[in-house]
Amino acid sequence: MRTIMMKELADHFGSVRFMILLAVVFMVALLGIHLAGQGVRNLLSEGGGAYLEGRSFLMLFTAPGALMSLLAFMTLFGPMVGMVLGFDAINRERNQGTLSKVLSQPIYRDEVILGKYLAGLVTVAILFTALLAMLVGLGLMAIGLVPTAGEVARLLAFLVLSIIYVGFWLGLALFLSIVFRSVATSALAAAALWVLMSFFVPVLGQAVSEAVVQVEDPQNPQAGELAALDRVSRVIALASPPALFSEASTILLDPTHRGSKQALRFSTMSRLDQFLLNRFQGVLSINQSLVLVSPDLLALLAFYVGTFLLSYLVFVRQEVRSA
Amino acid sequence: MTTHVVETFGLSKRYGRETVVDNLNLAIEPGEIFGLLGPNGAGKTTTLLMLLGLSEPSGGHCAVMGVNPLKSPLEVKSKVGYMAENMGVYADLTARENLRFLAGLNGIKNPAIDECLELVGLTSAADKKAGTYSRGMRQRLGLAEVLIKNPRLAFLDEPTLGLDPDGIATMLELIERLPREKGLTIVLSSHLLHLVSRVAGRVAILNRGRLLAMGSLADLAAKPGLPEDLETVYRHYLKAEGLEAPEVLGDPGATGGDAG
Repeated sequence: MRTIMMKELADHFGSVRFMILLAVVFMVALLGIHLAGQGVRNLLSEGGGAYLEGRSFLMLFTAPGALMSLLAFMTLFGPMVGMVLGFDAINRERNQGTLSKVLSQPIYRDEVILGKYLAGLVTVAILFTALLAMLVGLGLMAIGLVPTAGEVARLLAFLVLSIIYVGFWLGLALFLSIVFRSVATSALAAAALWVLMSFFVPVLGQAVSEAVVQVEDPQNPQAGELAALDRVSRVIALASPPALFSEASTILLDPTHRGSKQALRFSTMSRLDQFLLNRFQGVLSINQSLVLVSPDLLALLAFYVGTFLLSYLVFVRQEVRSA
Repeated sequence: MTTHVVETFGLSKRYGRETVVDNLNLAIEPGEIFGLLGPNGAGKTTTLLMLLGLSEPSGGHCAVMGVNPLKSPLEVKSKVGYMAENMGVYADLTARENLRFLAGLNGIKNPAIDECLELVGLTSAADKKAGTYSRGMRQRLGLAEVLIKNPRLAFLDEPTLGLDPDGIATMLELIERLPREKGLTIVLSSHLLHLVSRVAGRVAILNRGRLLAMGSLADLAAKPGLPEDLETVYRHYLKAEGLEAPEVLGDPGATGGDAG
């Protein structure tokens, strides 16, 4: 497995594809930080400085820029990184005739996918660590504020979360590369799933909630009705990793954000903590935020394990011959 | 009969209702070059895949060096080198890197890369990317990849497919040397009789998954009522199956895939 992983890693870093990916990601990052920097500066100059005390640096990620927030950029483009690294992992080898060779060596089949998967994950981890470091550095220059220790801790948690998120897409792409014999088909299927989960599921959630929940007067909905609408669309959003990631990272990056009450119900937070959380509307500690994130994280991990298990099952049963 | 390197008893493989390998009984002696001969779709590749544990037999059983490949595939794979038909090499890696990767997969600490390259005549191109290789060179690299793991048995599936006459001659010469120099047993599959007959001691003629005849070429030719000419013998066996297969007698440069 180590041999496969090292070879795949070398392949990743030496490939033109990786260079292009790097260029795209950094381009997006530059653009994002520029726009977000403007947004944060505006906020600060409007006298929100005291209000944002202790989390002004994190605003870089969540402040709505001219187009979208930096976080939204990452939610949208993170999957691309994972998919580009994985969509042809197995079927390319099948097509070039190296798969049967590798499988006729004394190794287990799961070592092949695991090796490829880990290589992709390490690549993602390195890429995102570099990206985040660059964003922080540019952010320092853009707004001239130094992040506090709490903010750094939150950023690190966010880094881990985004690696898991992109890792999910990597696993999904790997699965598609096992199922589809043609590289073009698996690339297209990956793109289709991306559109489905990023755009279709949230809209679907809205539509379904509106169909399910009775609203007496659409012009002037009651608070209870709004809550019900929100609850239904959230349940459906559970099926969408981008929605999960977006929710979880907003909680991590914005200390005032509590997510939904739903999250509280599922979380492992003690009653006292829940009481305090509801009682005091203020800045959360990172521990409290982490607890709030746990349901989203669990759902994301479930997706993660699910795709990997599926890949494994399909791959082990697959015939070797390409014809 | 534990002296046999490969034994199959009633080995069968069915895909749905189609029988690809039908009740095959083979026994291959150590140190010989054994030819699996038959037209496209005869079940040669499927047989090799079952012997490697890469494909599950639908019936019967087989033993490779006394090991059941279905039960201990890794043990078989570590002792057997397999060169698939249309096998590929990693185009972005040099010959040396390709070999190092293969050795790594086999857990070999100090692989004899230079010797293997020397043996197949790729020393001068060792540090060029395999993507720049000619078909003949790639095929020889494939042979080196089989040898790097020091196998005791090698399955070569259509090793001369798509090569020019020079390439075929080089490849056959190499194959012929291996049993003598490395003590290897070789199972060679091909649809071209005149290639197999140049190196193989014994052959098995397959058609539609069934074994038509097995024995040394001289034995087969000496069967009563048959002419001496081996091609005629081969054609005779195929004809008995109602198959006219001109491609099996094709010219040395003949290309084209073999799904069998």
